[in-house]
Amino acid sequence: MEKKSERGLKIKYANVLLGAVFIVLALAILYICQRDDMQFYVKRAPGPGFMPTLSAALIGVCGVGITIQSVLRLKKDAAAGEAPLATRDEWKNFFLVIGLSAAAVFFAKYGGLITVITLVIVLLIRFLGPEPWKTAIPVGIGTGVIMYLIFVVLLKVHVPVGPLGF
Amino acid sequence: MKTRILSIVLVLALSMALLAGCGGSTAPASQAPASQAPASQAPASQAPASEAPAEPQGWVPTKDIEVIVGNKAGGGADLFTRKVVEIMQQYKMLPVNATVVNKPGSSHVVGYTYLMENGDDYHMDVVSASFYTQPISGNSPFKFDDFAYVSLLCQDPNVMLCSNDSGFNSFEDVLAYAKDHPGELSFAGSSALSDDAILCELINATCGVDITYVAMESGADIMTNLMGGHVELGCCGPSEIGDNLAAGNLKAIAVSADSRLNIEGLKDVPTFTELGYDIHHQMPRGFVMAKTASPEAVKYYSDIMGKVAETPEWKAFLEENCMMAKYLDCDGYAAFNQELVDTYTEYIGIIMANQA
Amino acid sequence: MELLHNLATGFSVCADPIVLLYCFIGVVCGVIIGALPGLGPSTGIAILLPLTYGMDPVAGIVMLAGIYYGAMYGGSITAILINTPGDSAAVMTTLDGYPMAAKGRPAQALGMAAYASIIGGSVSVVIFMLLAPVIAKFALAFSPAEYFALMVMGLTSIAGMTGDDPFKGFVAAGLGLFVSTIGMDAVLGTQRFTFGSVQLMGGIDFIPVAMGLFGIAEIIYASAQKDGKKITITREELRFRKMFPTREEWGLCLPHIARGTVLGFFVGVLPGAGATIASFLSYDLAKKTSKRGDQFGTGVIEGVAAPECANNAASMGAMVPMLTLGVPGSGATAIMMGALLMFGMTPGPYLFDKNPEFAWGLVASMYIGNIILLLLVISALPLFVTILKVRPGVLNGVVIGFILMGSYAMNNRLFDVGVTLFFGAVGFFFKKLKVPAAPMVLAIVLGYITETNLRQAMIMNKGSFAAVISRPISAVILIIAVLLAFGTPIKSFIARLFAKKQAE
Repeated sequence: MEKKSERGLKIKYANVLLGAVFIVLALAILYICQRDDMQFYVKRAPGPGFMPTLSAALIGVCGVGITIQSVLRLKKDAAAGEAPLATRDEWKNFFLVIGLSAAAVFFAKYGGLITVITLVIVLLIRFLGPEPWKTAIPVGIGTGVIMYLIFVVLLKVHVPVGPLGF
Repeated sequence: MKTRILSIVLVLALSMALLAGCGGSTAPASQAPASQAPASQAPASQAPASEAPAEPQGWVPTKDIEVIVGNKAGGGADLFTRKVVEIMQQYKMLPVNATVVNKPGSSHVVGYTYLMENGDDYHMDVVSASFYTQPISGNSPFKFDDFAYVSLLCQDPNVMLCSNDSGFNSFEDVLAYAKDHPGELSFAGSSALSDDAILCELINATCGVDITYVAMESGADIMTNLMGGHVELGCCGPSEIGDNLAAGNLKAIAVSADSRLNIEGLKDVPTFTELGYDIHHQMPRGFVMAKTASPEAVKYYSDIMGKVAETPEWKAFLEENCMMAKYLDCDGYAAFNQELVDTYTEYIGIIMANQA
Repeated sequence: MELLHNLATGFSVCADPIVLLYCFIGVVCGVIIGALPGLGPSTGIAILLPLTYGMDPVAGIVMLAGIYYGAMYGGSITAILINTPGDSAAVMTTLDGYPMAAKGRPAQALGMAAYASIIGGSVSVVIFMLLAPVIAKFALAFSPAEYFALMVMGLTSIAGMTGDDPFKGFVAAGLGLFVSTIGMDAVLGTQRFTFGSVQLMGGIDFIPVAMGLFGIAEIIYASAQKDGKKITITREELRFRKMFPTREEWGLCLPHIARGTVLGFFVGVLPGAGATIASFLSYDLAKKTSKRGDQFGTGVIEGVAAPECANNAASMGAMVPMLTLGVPGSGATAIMMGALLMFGMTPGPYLFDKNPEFAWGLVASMYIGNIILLLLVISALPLFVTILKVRPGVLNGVVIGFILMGSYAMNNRLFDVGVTLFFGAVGFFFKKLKVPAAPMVLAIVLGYITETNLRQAMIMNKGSFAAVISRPISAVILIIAVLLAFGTPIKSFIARLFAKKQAE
């Protein structure tokens, strides 16, 4: 369900896209139900295909509704619809948070989860804040230490450890 | 603001110190046993292995061991594993530490995946019904050949129960009714591909009846539905029944085990074999390692498990949890395993065919 | 009266300073663990269970019970302050709690959450004491058919959360229903939408979804707003008087607290339905019966009181089947039951007979635990609120760190962290495109249970849907559901009829 990252995509067009995505999703769900032979009704009770089909129907119908609604509103010039999907700042924050966190997930196995998350915190404070390094580094490392104490020492959660041992 | 942060940190540190002190077990090793004062638990000695003199000087572990449990903390397999590890630590059977690692997800499959990723001499995983049902049903990418069998330690018997409203008093009553009314009786068990489902199918196949299986989510659901009279029959482990039998909230009509259960309230319940039906399906509990582990390591752990099985703490644990002792070492288990695989394959196959 | 005598026994057991100390530790730990995103009461109890080895049984179980309801409150702290529900039962609290905090009234929200929780908990203990054996029978009367009806009632509450655009609200619900089907089918064991992935086989847990949709999405969005969401809190605001709700607020909230407590308690009693569902139903009931119903979601204080009292009441209710029938009512009580067995107690019909000091000691400890919670909250509330004084730039980074760590710690797997991130991204787009997130979360929780119970009920009733809905309890619940769903239009219709009559 992630949208194309075009800057300046207007909300009113994004709404149309949203509706279309839902319609496609609904069709995909129905297709998979067919392909995996998830039957709607088995013996005396609804089968595995029951809920997926119903939810696909709901998503599909609403998707159609959203699409039609948004298309009808394309002509109007309401200020709300003319705004871009997300401002430059919002996009920047979006990629920063999601990107850094995804990298953390990927590198956790190699660098150790706590270490990697500490790094993410430091970078986020520095760039998301934005705060200067002299705030980011101590707070980030401090939080990392506290997380280590709470989760690994106290709660004994088994985390992936990196070469540094944490 | 900085002072506030400092005070928060101090408070947190103090409370953690308090907790750690009260708890006593600070090492990430297995948890302190109930019978010992927590503070006296010392980690296993670092000295070279001082095993029983009769032990051949073969392979000994030189790194810490991880025992994997594919389920959340507190569940049956988890408590079982923790007890084994606790006894090993208590009697200093190992020259190294053993930690229990929980890897819950997808009915133990995530745990086995983790085992395979770390398939060396220092990783073991606990076995329960899911070990057999998941590969057969296609839910697990592993085959039985991918594992090395360490040992079997016990089996969980299944108790067949009936509700008070059903009017049945014995298994014969149930069969008589079932033969005249095919498809009418409901049999509650936990999860669709479990020992309870297999038991239901075994009864159907062996006795020539048609009892409908209803998959519930847990022992709690089975118990409430039975006591509420919403299902006529059900099956669960003896430890889940508690005092409800004595209180008369439901009846036990048969037991799937090798012999009668020596448990309060269940001593008078006949086994299926006694009643003339060849049903004695129980859930096996043991340990496996990856095939890539060395045979010496497997033999080593197998012998250690044998010693665990002899200890009084273990016997007490089995009794408390209504499990039947059955120790098989690595070779014995490997042989018995084929029998288990055959049973599971046959009946899971029937269950899956019924779904079509 | 025998009851008072038993209670006196219980209190005397609790008067032991060691027991009180462990109660205190339990509550404190519970609040902290509940506040950590991703960790809820069951995780807390499971993790701290080893500390109880070798302890006196009463002290041990009292500590575990303290963790349980401490965690129920703890989850609401982060829900209110940073829109990240600490556990599933706190999701409803975010809907009105966070807007209240954003408007500069976090202390009032936290305060009311605490008072509602404590009232809910204490009243439930009284109900428990007086009616335990009767309630047990009530729990047994619920078969899958009745659960299905109850879940349908919960689902109708989604209609109230759709906001301005019903299509978007219902599509979120549809998405939630779909996500709830991913994984292994409970009734037949077939794989649905797993594409061969071992991780997906276990299904998608809804807490990572909630943390992503609410917490991460909010951080991404809020941190980019130019008008700076700095909430200024003066020292004046933190004085005790200010945190105590005004008379007017009490007047608004008390009816909802009363209803929510009773509702929450009885829902909690049902094994399988717990604090989460209790909080949903209570919020919905409050919304439908409040004069300010249409303002719910913008920061009304009843919207915080209702779910909070219900989730604490439900945690008390969950102990009923555990203690009287030996049947655990939820994940957390299942672990507590394991602890009881370890202590040598057999929960079940004879517990109160065989071990009266223990059982009544536990009941008495619930009162004491609630009082400790109250004292703790009053003294620590300024501390909680001070968290908001931290500069948003710093706070956001730290919170994301905790969200990532918490979603890992739930199940020891990175997959859950990935789920959180994915839904964090989705949540951001939802926010921008005005798709409400609450229906989706609700649908994930309820969809699975509804479907499973419907199918089980049909199998048990030999395939007859009529039989399922015509059972006495299910019929009553379904009628109530219909009334709640269509109640408002019917009310206004009748009001208009009366207005016409008066005009004549």
